Amino acid sequence: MNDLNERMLAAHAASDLDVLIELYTEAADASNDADASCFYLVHAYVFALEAGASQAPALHARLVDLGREE
Amino acid sequence: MTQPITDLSSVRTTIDKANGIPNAHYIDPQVYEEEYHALFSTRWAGLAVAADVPEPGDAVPIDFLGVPLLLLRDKDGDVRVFQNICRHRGMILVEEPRKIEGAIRCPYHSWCYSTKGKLVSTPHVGGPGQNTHASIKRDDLGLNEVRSHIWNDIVFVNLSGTAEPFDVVYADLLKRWSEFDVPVFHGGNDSKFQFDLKTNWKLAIENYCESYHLPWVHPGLNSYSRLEDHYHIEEPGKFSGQGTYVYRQLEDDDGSVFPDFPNLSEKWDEGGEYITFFPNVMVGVQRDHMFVIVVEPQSVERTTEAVHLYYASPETSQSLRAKNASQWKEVFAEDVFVVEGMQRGRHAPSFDGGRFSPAMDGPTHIFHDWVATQIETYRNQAKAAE
Repeated sequence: MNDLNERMLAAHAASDLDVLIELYTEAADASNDADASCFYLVHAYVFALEAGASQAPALHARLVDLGREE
Repeated sequence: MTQPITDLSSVRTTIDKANGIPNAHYIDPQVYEEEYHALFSTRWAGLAVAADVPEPGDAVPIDFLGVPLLLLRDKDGDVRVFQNICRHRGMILVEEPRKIEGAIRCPYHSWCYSTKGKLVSTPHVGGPGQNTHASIKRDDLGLNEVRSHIWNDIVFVNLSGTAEPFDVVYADLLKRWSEFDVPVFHGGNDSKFQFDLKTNWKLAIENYCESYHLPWVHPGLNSYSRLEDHYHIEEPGKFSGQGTYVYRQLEDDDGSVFPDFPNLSEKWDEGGEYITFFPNVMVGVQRDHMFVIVVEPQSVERTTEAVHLYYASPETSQSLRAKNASQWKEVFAEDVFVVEGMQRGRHAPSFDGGRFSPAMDGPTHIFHDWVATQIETYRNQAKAAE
């Protein structure tokens, strides 16, 4: 996770939305805690929305299924 | 009961007796604030041109008389104007012109909006990892859209939302220029330029109203378009400007000219007209091109003029466009010392607003009378509300 944190910070510094979507999805998938996983998933979804990325519908569906998004 | 800031009674009389608008309307921030309400926010005013956002997703933040607005072309190609703030904490959403690829994400807490203004996500609003909360009704929290209307690519806005419909307010002018209600095509980057002026916005309009100054300020123009070739356009309470009987088409080195707008009557063979959509949009029409100048007040003594040239076809000669832009830029630049000089003159305490030539200053007087009428109407409404 430390390596993931480093990569996240670098992606934030570069405002690289595509990478941010990937890394936050990776963090969500790696977490065993539901709330922590959803926290990361929310970020992945928001960056996907901002970028108009193809992952946005799937991320939205995951959050809806988890009762975290409309 | 508060007293009016200025006395406009000497403005609202016949031109042979009238004075111009008093100094305070050019140099006093309190009057500038009053004019914002009386002349801009409650009326239709020019904001920009749609060509400023040519592609879907293009967004341009505009500080319009201190109000943060966002000019945006949505994903379906419609041009919209929003208040450039998040409905959560009022944060500015877009700081620089840019392309919105997907959603507009507020940089503060990342509430996201579609390009149509719909609130589409509210991250962590119900707590970490929870994007919903019973009290946050997204349908009620879209971006605040500003009423807008586009005529010939010019984006007009009515900030208050209370003005009569655009087509009603400008009905007579639109009828006069109905032949120009046709598709127009911006010439592109080589067909726009800007002036940043040390003047109150009204002096730019006033100078545009009249042809009286042409032989003195624009001697080059006067060589073929003399003072006596011009006529006044005077519609009290509505609009004013000037026209010419001797518009001459620009020719490229090979003798080619711009294509004409379709189906124009003979009047426009050598005719050109130059009218202001009060308060702040100066437009010129000729058989083969139109220009638009959006006059944007920046402060009481600072004004920006954004100039745009439009043609009858999306395909025009680059060299001819450059020549045309250069010619107009030279003409408009010749006016800079005048509008800035009159502004400095407004600091002379004993200036009474000036006296008009009844023969030559009619269009300017009509603008002054319009300004004074709107301000007095606003003052009367404010007084009635006390």
